[in-house]
Amino acid sequence: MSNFPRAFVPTFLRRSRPLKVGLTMVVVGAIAAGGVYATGRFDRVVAGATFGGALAAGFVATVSSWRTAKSFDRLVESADRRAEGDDPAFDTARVDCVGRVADSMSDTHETLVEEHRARRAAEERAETVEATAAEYADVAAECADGNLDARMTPDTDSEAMAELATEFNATLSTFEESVEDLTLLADDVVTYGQEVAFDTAEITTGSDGMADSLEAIAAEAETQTDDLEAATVQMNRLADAVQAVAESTDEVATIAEKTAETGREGREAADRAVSGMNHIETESEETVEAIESLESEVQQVDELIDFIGEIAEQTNMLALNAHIEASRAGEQGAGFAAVANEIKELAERTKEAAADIEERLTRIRRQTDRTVDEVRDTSARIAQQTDSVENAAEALADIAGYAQETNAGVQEISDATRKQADSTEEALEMVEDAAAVSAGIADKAETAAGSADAQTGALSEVTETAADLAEQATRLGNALESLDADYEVAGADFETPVVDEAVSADAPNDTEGPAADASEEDTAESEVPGDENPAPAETPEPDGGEVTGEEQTHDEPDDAAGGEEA
Amino acid sequence: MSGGISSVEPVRTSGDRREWVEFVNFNLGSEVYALELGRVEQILPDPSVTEVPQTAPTIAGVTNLGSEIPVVVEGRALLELPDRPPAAEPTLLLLDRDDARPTGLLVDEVLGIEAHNVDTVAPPGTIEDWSLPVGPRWFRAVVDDPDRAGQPIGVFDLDAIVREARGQS
Repeated sequence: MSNFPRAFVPTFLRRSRPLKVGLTMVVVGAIAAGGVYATGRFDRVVAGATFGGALAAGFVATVSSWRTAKSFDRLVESADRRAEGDDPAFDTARVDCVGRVADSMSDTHETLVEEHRARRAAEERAETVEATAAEYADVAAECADGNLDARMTPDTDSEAMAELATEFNATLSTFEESVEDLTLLADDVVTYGQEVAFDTAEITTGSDGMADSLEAIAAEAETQTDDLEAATVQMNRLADAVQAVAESTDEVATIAEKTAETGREGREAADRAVSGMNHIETESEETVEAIESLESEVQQVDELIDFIGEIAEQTNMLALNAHIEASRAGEQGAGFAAVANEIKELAERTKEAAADIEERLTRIRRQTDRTVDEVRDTSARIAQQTDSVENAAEALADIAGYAQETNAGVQEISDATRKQADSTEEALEMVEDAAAVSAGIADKAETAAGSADAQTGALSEVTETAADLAEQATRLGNALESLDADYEVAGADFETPVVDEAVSADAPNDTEGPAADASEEDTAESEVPGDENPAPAETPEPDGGEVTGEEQTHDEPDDAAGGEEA
Repeated sequence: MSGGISSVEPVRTSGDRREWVEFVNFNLGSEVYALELGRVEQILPDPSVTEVPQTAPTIAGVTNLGSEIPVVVEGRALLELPDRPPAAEPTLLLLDRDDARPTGLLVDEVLGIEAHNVDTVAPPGTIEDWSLPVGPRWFRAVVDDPDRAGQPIGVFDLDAIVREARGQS
């Protein structure tokens, strides 16, 4: 509803809802009754009834609205009392919109009470935080004054402040440890600086020795060059000797081949001799068999002779008995005795002849025995000689084989000798190259000796630089140890790097000096070993290194290469 | 035995036969002895002698000659010579003792029949330097032929030998 129609409504009507409702109902009933009457179709009674109904309805509606308005008025009153600090009850028996409004106002009231309590608690915490912050500010100021042992007490209700105190304490502890580490580092730097000074002194001594050694090397290289030239002469002689050996091996090879051929011929001759001896041996065996057969024949003849002897014996016995009989016959048996006597003589001659034959047979048998023995001895000797000749044949075969192997070995020697000759020539070339290299080494060793002298000078500068570094580190250590006493600056932020301030307080011009000097010196030392003026304050600039490099180039063109070789 | 016969000399029968006496020469041991030719009836080489029990060594035994069985007297045992080698082949001289019992003498070897002049035959004991292994009573004579170069040959007395042998037996 726009505000415009409200301008035409009286204020008392606007404030009293029941009056508005009842008036509205009367107006609506009058309009409805007028309408009904205006139609003409109904009589006045109907119109009056309509208007009466409208009045009755307006009354009922006015009463109802009045009760509702009354309930709202009580709620408003309760709200006003609550605003004044009382604690009225918003309870009502109604469950309609009025009851819901009462519940809502009750909830709103409780919410407002809780917010009020929370605001009070927040105000109390803010006060506590302010007090703690003031306490922490005192601790921080104490730390800023140099008392690194001061710590914040994290025992507070504010978690943020407690965390702040804990982190501050941890940061301060870390800072304290860093200060201690830095102190130790400064001590180490002092020690290392002294050691560097000592080491550079040793290196300087070593460089001097190296220079001497390089000069000695140069001298020895010259001597070696002379030796290599002498070795070249010896190698040439060796090459000639190798050539002579090659010619001798060819002659030996020819002789070895002749030896092998002769060995083979000897083997063939020995084989022929063995064959002939085997033939002789076979014939000797046949001869022995023939002689033994002859001996058997002679034995049989001997038996016959024995038989003849026995016959002669018996004949003789018969003759004797005949003679006896003849003699017993007296004169008459004289002729018989003469016959018996002849028979006896025949028997005796037969016996003599048999004995003679037997004697001859004995001689023959003895001779054949001797012949058999001699033939057997000869056969045995031939067998032995056959073995010897076979051994000789095998020896000749071995000789031929050995000569063959000798020939092969000599050929290998010849090949090896030729290879050796080639190798000798290669070695000769290598020796000549080595002589050249040795001469170059002598020159470069002299150059390196000069470089070593220059390096000795550079190392002296390094020694001085290391001494300066040690001194500065000493000052840094002293500054760290007297940190508590030296800190006079009040209200310093604990996040400010203490070391930087300490260093800057003691050596404001050398804040970046030591580290930069060390790195720059290393660069200068490696790049310019012969620099004679490597001032620590000057060397950090790359231009200084280039300048010295140019100066060194002006003095020694091959300095870098000589330094690497040395 | 075969070699022994070659040493037998031929019987010399020149001159008057009655001036010559023939002997059968034989060996016993190393000595040469002889028997009169007329006292030897037969010469038997290597006889087969059968020993007779309970007889003395001088009786070698008996041998069978077919018609008669003579007693064989061992000459070596009779002269107390060592025994003959087993392989030896002795010779038996069958003695002629007239009608007496036939007897044979076993000798080593018969050397032959020799005829000696009666002048060279002498009674035993007449030769001074003749040493015999047995007594001279065993001999009838001694033949001292100059051809034998001072080595006399004793001629046995058959009866004495047989008597001695039978006596020992």
